[in-house]
Amino acid sequence: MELDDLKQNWKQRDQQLDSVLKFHVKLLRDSRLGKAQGALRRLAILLSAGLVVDLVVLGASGSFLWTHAAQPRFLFIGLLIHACAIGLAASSLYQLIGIARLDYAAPVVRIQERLSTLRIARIRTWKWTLLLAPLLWLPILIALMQGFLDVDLFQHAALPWLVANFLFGVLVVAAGVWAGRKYSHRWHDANWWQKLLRDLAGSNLTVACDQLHEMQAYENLES
Amino acid sequence: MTTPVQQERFLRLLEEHQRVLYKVSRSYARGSADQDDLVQEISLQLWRSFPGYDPRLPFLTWMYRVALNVAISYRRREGRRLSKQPVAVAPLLEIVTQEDAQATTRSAPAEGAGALQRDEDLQRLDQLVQALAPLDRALMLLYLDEQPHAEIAAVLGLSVSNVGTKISRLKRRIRRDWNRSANGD
Repeated sequence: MELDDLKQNWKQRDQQLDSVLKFHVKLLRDSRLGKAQGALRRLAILLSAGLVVDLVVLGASGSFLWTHAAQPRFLFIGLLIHACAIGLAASSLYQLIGIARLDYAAPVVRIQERLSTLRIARIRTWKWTLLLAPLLWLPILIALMQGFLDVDLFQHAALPWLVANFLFGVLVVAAGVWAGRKYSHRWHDANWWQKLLRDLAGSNLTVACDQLHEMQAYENLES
Repeated sequence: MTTPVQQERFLRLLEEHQRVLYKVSRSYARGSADQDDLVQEISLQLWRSFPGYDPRLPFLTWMYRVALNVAISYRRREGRRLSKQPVAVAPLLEIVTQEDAQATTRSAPAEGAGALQRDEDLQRLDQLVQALAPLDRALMLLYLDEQPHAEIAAVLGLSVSNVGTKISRLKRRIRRDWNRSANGD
């Protein structure tokens, strides 16, 4: 067998296709082209709304830092929340710009590399958000109580209560990672749940990194 | 902003090059429901990208780039999912006169036997192409479509010499796999 012989057959089939293919232009025109514009608008609104939320958190934590700079215990908590908010906002902005600049008409290898890079950024952000959320809720509660109600939880709540809440957060993170590693390959019908567990366990990140390396290697002559 | 004139031009070009939609969707999706999903996704992405289309670039090159980018992303995203439910809406792209083509084959037995052998060969070739990695599959699709090496390089973003080397390797691999499948390995 020579591929060049089969190429002739392939070409003949292509010629046949002209007579048997029917592209339903009317269907595309009537219902889908309008929706394409709507979907783009929705995506832009969703991403922008996420960034606005990040910026509000950034502003609020900055304000908290400024007003409690003289109190070390609140300064530490404010810094922690502010650092997380900066990370989240930076990642959202990076993804927003990346998606806005994405041109599907660019060469395939380049776009697939960019898509893999964006996917890695999304998974990393999501993974760290999932991992830090159970640990951060306590500092956020302390900051909210102090910031809005002027209640100092360090004085009003018992130390064992604070420690127990922190340890509970650590346990939730550990249980999440364990469940992710153990069960992420199951529940094929529950896509979002499986995806969440795989993100948490890091397996989706590994796959995305492998894909990026594969794309980069493809450009090399020797690959 | 797209105007009705632009829309008409886009739809005319899309109709003219509908074979690309068919070939790419066939190579990257399995089952008619998934293939139709992919045709829809490619069509919509083509429409979204159309305002930025530079007419200095051949439409076919531009269309291949968008279609392959969407198809590879689709494949990576949907790889784990098993297609279970048929698409409820009418398909955008379908083969409408298959019965006529089969009737012609039946009416000319000598030609029909040759056509059957050719169909079997093409089916085997389809299977071998489907087994390739996504970028190799794109390369093979463009090669079988008789695109010049320079054009393949422009679509994929590789150097012309790299395209030549990769095609030679792929040809060797397909020949080897073809012989293996013929020997029942």
